[in-house]
Amino acid sequence: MFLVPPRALVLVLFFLLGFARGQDPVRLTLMVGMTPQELASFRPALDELDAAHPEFVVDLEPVPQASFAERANARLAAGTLPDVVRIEGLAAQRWIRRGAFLPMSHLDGFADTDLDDFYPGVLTPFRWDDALWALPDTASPDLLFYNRAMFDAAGIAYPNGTWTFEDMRDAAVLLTRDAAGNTPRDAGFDPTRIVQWGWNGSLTHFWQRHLVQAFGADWCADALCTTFSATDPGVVRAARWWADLVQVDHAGLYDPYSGAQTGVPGDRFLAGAAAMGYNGFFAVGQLNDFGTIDYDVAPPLLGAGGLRHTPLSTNGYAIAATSRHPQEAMALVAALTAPTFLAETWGRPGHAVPARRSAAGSVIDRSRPPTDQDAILTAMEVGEVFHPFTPGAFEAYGLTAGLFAKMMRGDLPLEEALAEIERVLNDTLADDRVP
Amino acid sequence: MTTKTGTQRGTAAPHSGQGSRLGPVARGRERWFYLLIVPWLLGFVFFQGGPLLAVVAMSFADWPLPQPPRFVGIENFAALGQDPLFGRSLVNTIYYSAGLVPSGLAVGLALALVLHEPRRGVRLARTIVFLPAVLSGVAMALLWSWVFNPRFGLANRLLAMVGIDGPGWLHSEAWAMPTLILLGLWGVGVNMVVYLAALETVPTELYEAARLDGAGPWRRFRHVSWPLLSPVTFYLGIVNVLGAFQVFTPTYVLTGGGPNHATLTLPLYLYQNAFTYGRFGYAAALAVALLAFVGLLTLAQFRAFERRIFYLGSG
Repeated sequence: MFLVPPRALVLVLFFLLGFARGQDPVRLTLMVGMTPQELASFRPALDELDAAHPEFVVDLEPVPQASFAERANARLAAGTLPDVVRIEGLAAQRWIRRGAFLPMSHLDGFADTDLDDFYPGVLTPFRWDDALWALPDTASPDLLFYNRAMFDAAGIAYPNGTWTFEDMRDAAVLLTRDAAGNTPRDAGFDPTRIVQWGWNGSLTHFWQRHLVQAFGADWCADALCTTFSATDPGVVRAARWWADLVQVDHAGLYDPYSGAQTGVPGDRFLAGAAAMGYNGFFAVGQLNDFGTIDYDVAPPLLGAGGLRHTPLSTNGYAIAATSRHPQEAMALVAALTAPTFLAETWGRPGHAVPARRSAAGSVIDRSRPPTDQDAILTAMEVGEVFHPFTPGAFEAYGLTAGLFAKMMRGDLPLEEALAEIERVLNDTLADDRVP
Repeated sequence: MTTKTGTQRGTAAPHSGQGSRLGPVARGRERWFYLLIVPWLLGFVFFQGGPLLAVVAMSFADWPLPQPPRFVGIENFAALGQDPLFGRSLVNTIYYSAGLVPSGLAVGLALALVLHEPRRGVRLARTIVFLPAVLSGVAMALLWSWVFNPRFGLANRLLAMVGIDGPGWLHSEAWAMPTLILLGLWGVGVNMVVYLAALETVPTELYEAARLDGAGPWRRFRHVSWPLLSPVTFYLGIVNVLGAFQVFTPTYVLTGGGPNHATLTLPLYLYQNAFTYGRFGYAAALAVALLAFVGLLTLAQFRAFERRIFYLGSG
């Protein structure tokens, strides 16, 4: 009888155990902050993706959007940030610059990524120090939304791709109504009792660079917009145009969100109290869910030089610097941003627009509003992420939002307000400036 | 009987000059005392005392997560003086406390006086008044946001019925804080319950004596109830001020500190610095400043009111 020496048997067992262990899939944690509706379609899609990739198993860690910063900071402090984190573009730089993530473009698995397929605007907030730190999956560009019923009632033609800001202003005045049904051009018009606004907003915060660019000016004095020149004559002229829309025409709002001006909290267009205004693509889903507002969209308005400017918000996947499996995490990110996954997960339900050109078309669904869905893709092409997006941006917003409201309301002389805005922003964003 | 003797012996010892040795029963009770407070003590050390010390340490550091904290001395505290929003949030917090605490005590006391009398349905009424104190703060805040919606809300509809053009409530810079104070009164049931318990302890013979002396309801309240309720009022005053200075949920859920910082309170500003701006060291300095301010305020309350408190049997 042939007997196996015990030592050889042990070696074989060790080999088999080692081999078996080597085949074990890597366990990756993925943290996302999504709405319940987004999660409803994302979770099953992720399960399918997980099943198709035997090299890893994904533990999904969904976090309510309102608690995302708290959870992420707590995990950062504990050194247990999940392997992959889905992060908002506006919040990304604060984490990237502090070393929370790995420079994704330096990882082996990144080489196959076709960056040209991504819309140019969506990559910007994830770039730093000659590296890309996250790959975007979706974006939500601002479009011109309008209430068709209000236009019909006023007998005004709907906005289209040829509309300029002056066209908008003319229509906004005719669409504004006080409680007695008068427009600002009628003799008995009462500006203190407006119930329907022609334009949902004005120049109300520093992320509205596009509303200044529309007049051929720019208050961003450097590429990252960490230096402001709000006192530039072109900026002053643009701000005056918007202030006149509010104070002279009574057709725009100085406080589009707080409700102080109208008593309608939140978004006036979504509340049926404004005839038109810019809003993110995500509002399409909300309006379709409500089903109570007869709306449509148009491309962003034509500005100076026939150019369109519009902001967009975006989300992307980053890999934690503390991840023990960066290559597998990169494979997961690549799968989550693959055109097919984006088209089927994000395009189909229409929550957001896939960040890649090859997948963005999936968002078009002619069976549901809006009618002009090509406007969505037009906005994606020209959309730029909100500037500035550097670490101090939120604090800068908090410190200047009140100044903008006072400026548009006329409580502060326009030039004085702009000078103060410039001073506060340049102080607050000083640490964000690249030396 | 044995227990009583033991207790007397145990508590009397330090005063009788016989040393600090406890009797066996008292020692047994002492052991139980320590055993029973161990869970609380552990909770305090690990979940309150420890974090408190950590916050104080953090306030002297710049901590841009995930990088390690860097000692910056008193830089964060010096920055408080330059920060206009710190001053604004402190004033707002004082405004909120000054509005809510006296009115909360007054309403709580008034409700207790009304619901103290044994009448039909009084238990149900007490339950209804106390109920908001055990409901979710977030849910309540959202409910009130609808009530105070300037255009569609119940409050303005009711006012419109009597010909009053209602204000903008939470959406008006002038009205936002008064509205939050009004919402704060919704939780006044706790004050009422404490006052009710205190009213039960007022000896009825004092009322009878006052009545025999010809005192009416107001004088009986002024000269009997009110002095005897002063320890409870003092206690509630301190606890309510502490609570008011920690107001967070309604400002976070309903206004986010707006409009135009009109409802930006210190706890909310602290939260924004930590979790929105990622400035943990500065947020810790704000927390220490808040702690110091509340500590000084409590001390001032003790100094101002302690001698005016009337304890039954104190002469």
